[in-house]
Amino acid sequence: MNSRNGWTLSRRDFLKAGGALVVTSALPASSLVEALAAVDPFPPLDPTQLATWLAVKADGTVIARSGHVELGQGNQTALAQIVAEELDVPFARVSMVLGDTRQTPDQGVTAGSTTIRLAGLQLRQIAAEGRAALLKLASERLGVPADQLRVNDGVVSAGSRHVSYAELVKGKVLTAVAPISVQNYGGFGMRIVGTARPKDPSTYTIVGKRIPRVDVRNKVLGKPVYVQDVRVPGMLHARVIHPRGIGSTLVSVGSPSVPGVRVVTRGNLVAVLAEREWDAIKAAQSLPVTWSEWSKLPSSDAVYGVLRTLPTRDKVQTNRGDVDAALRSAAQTLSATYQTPFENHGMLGPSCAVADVRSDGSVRVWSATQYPQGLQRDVAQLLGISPDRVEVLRAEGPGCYGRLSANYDDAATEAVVLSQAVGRPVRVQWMRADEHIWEPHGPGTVHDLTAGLDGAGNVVAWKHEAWMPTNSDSTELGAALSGKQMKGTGIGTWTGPNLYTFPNALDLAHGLPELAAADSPYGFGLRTTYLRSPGQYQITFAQEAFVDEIAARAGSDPLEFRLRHLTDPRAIAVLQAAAKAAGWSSRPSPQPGASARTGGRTGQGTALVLRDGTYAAAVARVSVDPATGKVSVQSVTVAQDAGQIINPTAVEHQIESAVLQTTSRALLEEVTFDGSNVTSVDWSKYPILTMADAPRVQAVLIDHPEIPPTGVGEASVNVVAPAIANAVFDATGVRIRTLPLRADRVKAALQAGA
Amino acid sequence: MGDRDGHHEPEEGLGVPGRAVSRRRLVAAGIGAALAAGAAATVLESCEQGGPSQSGGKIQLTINGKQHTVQSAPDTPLLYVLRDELGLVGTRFGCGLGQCGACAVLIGGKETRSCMTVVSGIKDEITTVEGLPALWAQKKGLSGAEAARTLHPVQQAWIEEQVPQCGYCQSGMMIMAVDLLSRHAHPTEAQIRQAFTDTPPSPHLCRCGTYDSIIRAVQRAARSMA
Repeated sequence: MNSRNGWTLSRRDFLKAGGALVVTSALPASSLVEALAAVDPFPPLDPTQLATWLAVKADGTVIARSGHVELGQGNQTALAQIVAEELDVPFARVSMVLGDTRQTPDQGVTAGSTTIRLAGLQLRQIAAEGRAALLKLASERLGVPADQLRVNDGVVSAGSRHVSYAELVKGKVLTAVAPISVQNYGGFGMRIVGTARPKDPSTYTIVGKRIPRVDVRNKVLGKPVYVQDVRVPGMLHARVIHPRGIGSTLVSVGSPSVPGVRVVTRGNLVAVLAEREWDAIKAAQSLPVTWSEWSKLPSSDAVYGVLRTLPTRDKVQTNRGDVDAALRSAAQTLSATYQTPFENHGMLGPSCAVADVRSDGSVRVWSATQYPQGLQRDVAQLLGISPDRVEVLRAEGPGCYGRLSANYDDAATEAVVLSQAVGRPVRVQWMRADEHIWEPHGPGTVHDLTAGLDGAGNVVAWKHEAWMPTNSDSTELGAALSGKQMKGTGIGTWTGPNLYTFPNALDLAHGLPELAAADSPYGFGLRTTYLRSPGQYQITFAQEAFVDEIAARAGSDPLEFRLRHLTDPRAIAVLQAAAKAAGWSSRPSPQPGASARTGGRTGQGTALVLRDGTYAAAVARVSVDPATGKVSVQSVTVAQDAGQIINPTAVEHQIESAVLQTTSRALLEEVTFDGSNVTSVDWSKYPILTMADAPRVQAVLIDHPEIPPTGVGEASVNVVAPAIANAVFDATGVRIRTLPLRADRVKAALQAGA
Repeated sequence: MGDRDGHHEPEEGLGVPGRAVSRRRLVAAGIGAALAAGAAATVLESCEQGGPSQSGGKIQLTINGKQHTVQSAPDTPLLYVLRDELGLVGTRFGCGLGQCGACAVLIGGKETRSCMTVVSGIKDEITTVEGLPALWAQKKGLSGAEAARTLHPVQQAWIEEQVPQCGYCQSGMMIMAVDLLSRHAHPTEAQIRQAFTDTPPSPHLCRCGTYDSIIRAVQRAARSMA
């Protein structure tokens, strides 16, 4: 792509930018584009070369490049902390370049809580290699063995003599002491294998500190930081008119009623394009478009029954002992069915992207995708060109929580098709209904659980069967609607381990295809894709609520009951820490005085999870108003152990985020649909948590500096809904097994149970 | 980071060529269709009462202390004038329906949803998130270098509490906070919750889950403004 020689670069962008320091975001709208285009000199993308990842500039600042992106969790800050720590330079001197296909290595998709545990540990190794390389240069310069050198704030010293990193690197390509190899480049199993040893965590001065996030200030000042703020010279504003039904095809298009607006159709992709955004909006609202009838979906009211009838691909997650025999010989058994709804990611700003397909066939895309390299490949495939003809420049976007992690960017692919059609840069901005209807939702699930107890109230048999539609729809609407079949929609599967030591246990996923995908001309049906802790969120709700049911049947304190069936010390520690911080009352549920008629007093509930190496436990306190059925979540305490903590403030904010967002999911959220399409088309039809109902959040962090860090964005998501449902049971004595715990459902359940 | 603290945003065009002045009075049907939410009606009415303040077919606005003559069609919601014509992109597009609050600005000091406020009816001064530092500087009589380096206490509190995650809703949240603190210098937690939830036409929505941080930041701002 670029010159093979490390620091020389022949790109017009670099010439145009004059090698200016990358200053993202502190610029007006038109300049966001310039900021994203401007780059420091960078070498060819070769992940085995240190210079691809790291640069030490003449002023002593350090640039580190990562293929991961900032989603609002503080990635940019945490990664810079890791690099600064390993290199022994002040935090403020490190700047990260994230998610730019021209210059950042492919570290896979920013999803599944992988930024710290994968990309971060890769960067830690790279930075350690960088430090070793710098020490070798210093050793040669100072004539002192490397192991007798000290580094402080980017200055290497031996006695009274010293030399800075900048002086050492000046005019040279930073080269590793010994070759670096990369395993599984771009994949979830990616590893950097080198010879340098990262620092002893007990010597850390930057990792583990409450360093303020570097992205916050520009967001507070209202600077252009989002892809929605990108404006390109010559750009047209587009609005796409999406099909009426999920599988509807185009019958006819009339003329726009707004002068100067251009209609573009490519297959079933219909759009209006205008110089001015408001003209495009008005034209899209009034354009006469006729779609074919399509009604192959079950309605949302009937969907749980339908899920049980679909063809499955089974996955056995846990299979221990002989469950059926143990159930036959159990002193008592109990069974229950749990259901979770289809849900929205609900990006607060609808999808948006800008694409420029140029006359020479090269393409530049501005996107808020979670995977720039993935989108680069999708756009290349869509256009039938080589990926090196496609540049994806990543800007921040509204929080997406997985929405852009498999369908890397619907709007970008639509913009690409439209830009190619009109020969100008095109900005596609979805409206609210587009996002609510067409986002790839979180899938609804059904769970059958059965347990057998012995005479002492211990679990001797456990069986959990889950019917789970796909989480991995990776279709791109721009491709599918314009007639290009690319990728599939996948099959659902189990996620996460069962921590309990039940002697006979079966966890079985009935993996399902996407709802109605087989009946659609596009290859997708009701699109479903990874939503914050996908699969494990639903599994944990059913499992942890049912464990509570078993504890109640056994007459045990639900906390003590869990502890009795655990051996993993970290799992035990988070449960005990959450219980202690929340002031857990040791007693069986429901509480004395629990009442479906009066709603009882404040209820307590707990739950536990292990998600990709991170342990989390929650205690929720709720009150229930029997007159309305409204569940008020007063507080949620979460204890979490994610190994080594990189930035405690950022971790606390992620826990706060997980609690509030999941309280919203647990109490309110459900995608509704009829036979044709989604009917929950805006925030009035898909209400989410408001500030009035936000619980107080208490975060308890358990730090293990000696254990490699794992993710903090997802684990605590899993424990909130079951803790709330268990607390409702504790207060009222009524078990509600279908989410969300919406007032009408709770009221009906209380009336039935009173 | 060499930022210029917001209130001296350049207002050059956004590189969109062919931006002709439209003198057509565009059909009102477009507005009605856009404002699907029922609550939109009150805003529309108030705008109609206000009447267009136009000069030679162009609309005059006072935004963040400066006069602007805008070229957008008179039926354009203020949001698109701010973002597309004036480059004030700190005001975000969230729903276009008055359901989320991401597009909130102050008009005459009152929190208003710019996505459903037609530009031609606006008479009072508009303050966007970019104008909050100047608003505070004016109130405190700051000038020159001191004004240039001083943020609005609400913004300062938002930074100190590290409120934003994705940050997309936060411009609207800070606008709501400024409105609230102008009415209640020391709001209780209950008053804060109520203001962000019950102020028409809709609650201010955050998807990342920052409500608790916002409550702390409003309380911090109240203390520093006292």
